[in-house]
Amino acid sequence: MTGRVSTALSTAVVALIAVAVVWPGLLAPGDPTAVDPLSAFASPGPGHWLGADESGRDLWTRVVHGAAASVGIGAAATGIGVGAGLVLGLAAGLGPRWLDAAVGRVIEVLFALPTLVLALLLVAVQGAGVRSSVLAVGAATAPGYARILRARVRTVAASGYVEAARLEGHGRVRVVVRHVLPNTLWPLVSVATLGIGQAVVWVCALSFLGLGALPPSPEWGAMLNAGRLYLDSAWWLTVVPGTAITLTAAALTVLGRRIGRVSA
Amino acid sequence: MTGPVLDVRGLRVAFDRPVLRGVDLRIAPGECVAVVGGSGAGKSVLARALVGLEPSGSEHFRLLGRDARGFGARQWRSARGRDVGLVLQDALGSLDPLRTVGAEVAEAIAIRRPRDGSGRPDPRLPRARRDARVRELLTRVGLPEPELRARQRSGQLSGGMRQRALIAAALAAAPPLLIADEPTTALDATVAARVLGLLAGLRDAGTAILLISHDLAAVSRVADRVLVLDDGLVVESGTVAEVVGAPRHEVTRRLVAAARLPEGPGPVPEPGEPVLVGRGLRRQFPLPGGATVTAVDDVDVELRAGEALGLVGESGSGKTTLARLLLAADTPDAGTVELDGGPWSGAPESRRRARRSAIRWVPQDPLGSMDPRLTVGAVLRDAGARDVDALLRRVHLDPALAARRPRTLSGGQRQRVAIARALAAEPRVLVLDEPVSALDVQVQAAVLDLLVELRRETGVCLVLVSHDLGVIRRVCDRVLVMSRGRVVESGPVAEVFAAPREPLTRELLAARGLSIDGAAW
Repeated sequence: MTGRVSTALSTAVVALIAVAVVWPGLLAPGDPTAVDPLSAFASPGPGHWLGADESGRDLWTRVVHGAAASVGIGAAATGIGVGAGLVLGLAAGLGPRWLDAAVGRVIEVLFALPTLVLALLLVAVQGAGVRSSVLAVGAATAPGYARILRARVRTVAASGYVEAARLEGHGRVRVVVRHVLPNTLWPLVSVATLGIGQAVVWVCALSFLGLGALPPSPEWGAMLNAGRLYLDSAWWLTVVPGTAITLTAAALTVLGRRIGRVSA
Repeated sequence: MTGPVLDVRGLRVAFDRPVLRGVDLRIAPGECVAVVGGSGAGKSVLARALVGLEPSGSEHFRLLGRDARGFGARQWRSARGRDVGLVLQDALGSLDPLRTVGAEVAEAIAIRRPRDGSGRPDPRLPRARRDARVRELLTRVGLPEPELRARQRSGQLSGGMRQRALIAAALAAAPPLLIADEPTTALDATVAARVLGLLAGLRDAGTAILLISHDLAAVSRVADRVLVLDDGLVVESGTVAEVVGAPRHEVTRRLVAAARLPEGPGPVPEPGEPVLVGRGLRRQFPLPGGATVTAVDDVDVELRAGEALGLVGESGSGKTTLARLLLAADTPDAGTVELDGGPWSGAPESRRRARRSAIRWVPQDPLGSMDPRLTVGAVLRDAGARDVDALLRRVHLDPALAARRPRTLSGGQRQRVAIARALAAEPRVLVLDEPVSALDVQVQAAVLDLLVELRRETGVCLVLVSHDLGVIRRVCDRVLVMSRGRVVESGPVAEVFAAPREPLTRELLAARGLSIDGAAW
């Protein structure tokens, strides 16, 4: 697939997901939790074009309304991760050497644990639920952003244009605001877009394990878990939310890489 | 072989517009042909087209007697390195930073095996004999201590050594034709002279050489014939003596003028009060392993109002470090710098900041010194310019460029913007670090003219760092010749040029294009 086609497709998918997050009623006017025993386990076809689950809830409606939970939580978690990463990364990159060393050691310790394990640990401490899964994924991704940011800040701070501005007599604060921050934060947009896709996967993983959003919430990971029992009789219960997760992560990844190439 | 190594007629290359519009070229074995021209003339495209890296059309294209017009990708791959070697300008970018120089050359030996009599490649050289061949090649290109160099990586070698290593790799299969694209542009004058000497030796040994350069002075020492390329056409050709002695085309005349050692700046005002004074300056840098290198060693400098001082020396002689000490971009380990009679190097940065408008810097890499997100206008306003249009006109640029980003400008325009930026706050001193070394000779001459004009009209003092004595002579009144961190010779430019005392000064002078003014024709 050429770059242009994949970019256009990903943009379309991301736009569709954005609509589903902001205004799910536009795509699926029904109620995602409305039970209809008559159409229980309806296979994909007329009436329920993606099928219905064990309680007869329409899967299309549930997947659309679940976007707010899954993608919304993923985006919020990334927001927290980027925010915490910003504070740590800028402190390490611009601060005194001892602070850089201290932050560096903390990041190394956090990096020693895989992100999902770290998130599980945090959920275990805080207890299950939507809020704690947002915080857990956010905190677990922060070290990665912090490290990227620190490296970038160091590169920019050592660049010729920062030295030129310094030799022009501009003060430290002005150089940071005018040159270091803009040139540091732009590349982060691409990394954060990639990160949302990854965060969605982790958020869904947590709720699949029953540690995030709980049924009957139409969260994709929770739907996967509920559908798991009927894997051999009603494949669409797992394939539909699974595809939604895959598509979201793939589209955000393609888009993030594209942004990265443009801003580079 | 008796026929020409390369015989091309009507070579055309077009991207979105025609770049080469019918170039004829013939090179015999043991002949060195130079292609010269300004930036954008199509020189590098010609080099790439001749090794099949650019799709081209031609009426006639014979490489070693074989018709190359029908060559596919596979045939070109087999021809490259074996029948024709290519040496690129960017010696650092062309070598893998993670591999040793020996591995680079050994790879070339393994891939590019010379053809035997029937045209088939020789059998692969056994690994054990490859090392010996690597050493032989590195010795042949004149790398000192080839055993040691073969084990080093490209980052550990100087620019001249890297260029030699690349030539060694290109020679692995002893190609009958070697194409060198600006092989000496990135090198300082004395090193460039040695690389050109190496090419001359190869030519005398029977290799046909196509030398591509913007610098007529450089190629005049090795080339037999010269082709002047302008806008994709050969506008003049002939032997070096013909072209240099009696240039007919306007482009050729400009190239010849730029290659001659330029005139001095003309009458200048008497030097006034000392503005920038350095006493006993010393700066050391730690080396890996605990040793230190002394980049600047006990140097005294004095710059008087209205004066232009040149700092000249080979790469690594400490001239840039000295310039940075004068700018207070770096702090000396010993000695002091005073600006306008007040402490400069010794004052804290918070005190210096307000006085930085008095001394400004024109860096070697103008693009890297400008924030890529900002427009030219924003860069100039940040530097303190009140009237951006007037400032751009001051350096002979179109005020419309203010809306552009530095990346979209040509090298000469970028350098002018860098000078405009340095002038924005109406400083008393400009420190220029190799301001023209990245520019082609015609643009160089224009930028140097601008510096002379600025001196005359604004009375700004200059400290000009360059490895090129021609640049110094065009702009400066006084010169310091540096070697290994020390000033080995100093005095008025005219005196130093007329009667150089030090061997280094003589070597630098000899390396700078004088062959063209010599008695050969």
